[in-house]
Amino acid sequence: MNIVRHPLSVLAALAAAAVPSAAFDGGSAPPEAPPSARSAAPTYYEEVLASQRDAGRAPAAGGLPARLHVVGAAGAVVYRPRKGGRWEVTVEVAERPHERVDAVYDLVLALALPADHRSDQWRLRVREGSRRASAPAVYAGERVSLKRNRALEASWLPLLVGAREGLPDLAGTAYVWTLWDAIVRYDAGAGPTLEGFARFGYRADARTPAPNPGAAYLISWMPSLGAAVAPYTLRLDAVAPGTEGEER
Amino acid sequence: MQLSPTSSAALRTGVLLAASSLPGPLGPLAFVAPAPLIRALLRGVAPGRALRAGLLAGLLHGALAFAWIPFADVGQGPPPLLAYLALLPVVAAGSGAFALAVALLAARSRWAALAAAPGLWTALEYARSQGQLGVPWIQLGYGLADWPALSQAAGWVGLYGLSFWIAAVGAWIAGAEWLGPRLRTSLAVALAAPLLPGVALLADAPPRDAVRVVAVQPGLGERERRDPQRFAANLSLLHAGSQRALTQPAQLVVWPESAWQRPLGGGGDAFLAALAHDLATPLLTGVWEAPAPGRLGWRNAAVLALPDGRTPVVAEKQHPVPIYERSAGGPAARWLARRGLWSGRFERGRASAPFALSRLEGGPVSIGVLVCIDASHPEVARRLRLAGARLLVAIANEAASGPWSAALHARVTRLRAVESGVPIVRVASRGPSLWIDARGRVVASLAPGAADSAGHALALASRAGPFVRIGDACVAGAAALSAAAAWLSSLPIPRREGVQE
Repeated sequence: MNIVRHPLSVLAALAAAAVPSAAFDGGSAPPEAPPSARSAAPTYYEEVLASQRDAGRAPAAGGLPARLHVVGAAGAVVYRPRKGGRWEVTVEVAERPHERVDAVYDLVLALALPADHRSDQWRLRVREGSRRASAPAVYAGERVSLKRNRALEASWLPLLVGAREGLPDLAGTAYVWTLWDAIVRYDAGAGPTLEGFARFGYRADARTPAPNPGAAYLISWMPSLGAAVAPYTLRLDAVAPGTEGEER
Repeated sequence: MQLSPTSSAALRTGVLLAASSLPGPLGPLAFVAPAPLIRALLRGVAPGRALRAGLLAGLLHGALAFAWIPFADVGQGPPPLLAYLALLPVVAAGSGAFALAVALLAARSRWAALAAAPGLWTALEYARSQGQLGVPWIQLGYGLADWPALSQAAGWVGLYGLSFWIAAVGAWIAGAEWLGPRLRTSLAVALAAPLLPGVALLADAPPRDAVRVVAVQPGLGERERRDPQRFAANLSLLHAGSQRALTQPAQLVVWPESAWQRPLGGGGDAFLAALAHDLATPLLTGVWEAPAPGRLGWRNAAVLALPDGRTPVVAEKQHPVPIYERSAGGPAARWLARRGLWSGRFERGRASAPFALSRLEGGPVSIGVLVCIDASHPEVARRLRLAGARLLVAIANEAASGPWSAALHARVTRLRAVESGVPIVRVASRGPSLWIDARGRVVASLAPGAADSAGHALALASRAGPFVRIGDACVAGAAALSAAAAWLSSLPIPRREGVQE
């Protein structure tokens, strides 16, 4: 799939395509072969679950992980200035292997937004296809839609921001982290790969620059594994408008 | 082998009591159940024979009514057959004591025995339900739970008041042959009075304020539910059921007892909160509270996950099931535990106040939670009602004990609604899940055994009735009434009008 012409994404990378970084993801380097060709490789969560099963562990107590298992991924986050102090940010996740672990995930998007941003949009609707011909992403029978979760921001960001294996500290950048999430159930019939994109429109001071360098993080948190397991996280680097295709 | 008339009467009473205790439409047989035994005792029976007859009736009652216990899938712990065999003497002892007392009174005065019988029965039923090994089921009053037209008096006098009424009808039937026509008719009229509250069912006011509650019944077997490897699959089932039922918005989503399969620590559970946020609806679920500093035991509890990220514990099970659930508390229980005959590890929970559920319209609603068998204890529901609850949620899990026990538990829950004049949403792992109005009528239900979910509105409770204010004081009243009547009737008055000695 040509992701220059078809800026796809996933969000619905649901559990998103958790493949160990050595097997697939690595910085922003393009994959060497189509994702479907490598779908037999064990995914991150498959390996984690196998090790837990070997150890005979029962479900762990609830808790928020203090670190993330971050891998660079094909895709991008693009901040586009519009007229009148309006901005649009697009998060794109390129086609990637589907997770193969039957679980319930909290799909969390960590998105940097200006601290003073204003918006009436309360959710990010994930779509599939090209910008010109897209359709809502449907997974496990539901349209995938991420909602701003301020409660999770209050509880989780203090653990993650600035941590060695967490999110970058945005202090001094005029940006803050926001968390958007959706609970998704594994859909075995969703096919070998997933992709998707979502847009968010907001108003902010026209002088506010896009975060540079910056990135968005798509966290596939499988809470049943407990706080000790770092959630699999895709890093989607911020690129200048109009260059997202050239990046790859 | 020919049975004596007393043994035959005891058998008939035992069978009738058992039939009235079974799930199904036979509950009102309770009205006639005590009659054969009482009539036999009134004819004059030696104390030893009376005791044996009472024990026989009680054994039969307990053996048939609790016949589901040996087939329960309890996992760890002693075989359920042992628990069953241990339970029977408890039930039989009550009937035995009743028969002995009635026989002793009848030896002095048949009239005294007749007058004392209902109070004695009620007091012994009440006593049987108390204590660590109490048996809070199969009271006579529960026979009417599936018959709201007959059970409305419970709003005045509670479960034990109903039992007193039923036992009094039984005594009246038993003593009819000795009562003169006038007294027989007068008593019949008096005994019909508890039917009057049922008239209220004919003139229901339209609901002014209602709450829509979603119940998710996963339909899982106990072994599936407990399997750690199925955590995700079970959670998927619950989440999917919630989403399906929320196509029409609701104020609360409820999952059954123990549905959230991982321990809840002191810091709550962020994922549960994320689930509530995702559903955009508060989510109440059964959960196990892990031991914490200062307390060693686990607690079977209910947690309310709110979209704003909070996950407070809103109820704890106050009466864990003996042997299999409750941790060994006393020397006898610890002795049994050392021999593998007591496997429980949950300590008694604290009594909880109702929680306030915010609504977009109509202001907050006060909701109380009953965790499983707490629904079998009238006082728990009553205290929640006294504290202002206008709706109760009863979460249950009878996946291990089977559909028979689930049906009995559902029946018990219906009577709680009538007693406290409060609607109850019962949500059980394998059903039946019920939306019960404040009169004990089932407004909607999910079929037993099915994996299903739905949302229905229930009118909120209004003013609390007499039972909520007086509680089980009527038990003492019933016992005192019977004692007084027995004493009066045993006074040496040569002839009492209307009584044919």
